[in-house]
Amino acid sequence: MAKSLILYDGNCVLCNRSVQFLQPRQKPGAIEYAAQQTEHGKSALKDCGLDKRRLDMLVLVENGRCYLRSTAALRAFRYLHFPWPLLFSLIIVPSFLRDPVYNLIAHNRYRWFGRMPRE
Amino acid sequence: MTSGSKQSAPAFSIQLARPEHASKIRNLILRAGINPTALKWECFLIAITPHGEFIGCGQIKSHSDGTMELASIAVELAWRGRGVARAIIDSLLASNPGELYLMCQSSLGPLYEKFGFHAISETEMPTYFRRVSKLAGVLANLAKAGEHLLVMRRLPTANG
Repeated sequence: MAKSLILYDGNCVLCNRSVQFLQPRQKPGAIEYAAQQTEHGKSALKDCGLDKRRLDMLVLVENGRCYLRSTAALRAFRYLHFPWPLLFSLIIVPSFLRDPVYNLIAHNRYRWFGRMPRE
Repeated sequence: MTSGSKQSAPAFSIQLARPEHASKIRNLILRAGINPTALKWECFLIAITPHGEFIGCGQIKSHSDGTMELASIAVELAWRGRGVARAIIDSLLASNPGELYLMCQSSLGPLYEKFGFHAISETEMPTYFRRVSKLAGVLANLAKAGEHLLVMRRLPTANG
């Protein structure tokens, strides 16, 4: 089975810190990460049929299926060691309530957490 | 099971799901953004066209405390507004005359009232629904969402 892939905004401090949070807590080899601005990331986004200009959401590619926004974030917790997978239970709340909270954070991520410095 | 059209040729029919529908049910529920847990195909009714195209689904979900929930009602985008959900719900309700609960976004409340459901307060909710409702309330407040989660109940019907 192919590894699952998280596609995140590489310019965003919050997103990079989130990846740093996930990596040491994940089950070994369960998941890969790619910034959406990289060639790998762009290619994976294209496979998901997502517009490359709209880098405003977390994407999780799992068994060839693409999950977006809060669904992607919650599913990512399933790849971590206990007790983090318990957070996946929030998936029972419909996305019409989960995604607005996700969007609120996503739309303000640069303002609240900053941008990564340019190399 | 039931015809989905008032015209001579039915546009779709409602049937018991079979194993080959499991992945289609799951895919549709995921796209609809509703609870993707407890999706046993054996519990589902599906809407299907005469050509065998899967276009919608729904189930009566049984909870550990014995409460029953009308759940997982979803219809393919191209088929919305054509009575598919109504036909699925009618069939599910006809075979389940006992007390039923459901959770939906607040704008869908009037639709479910036509099926005999009424919104209930938190004190009337069984534990599972109260927990989800509280959680949903926190999220709705955080996002200042216009919609909120409605928990509704239909009392047992006369023949139940």
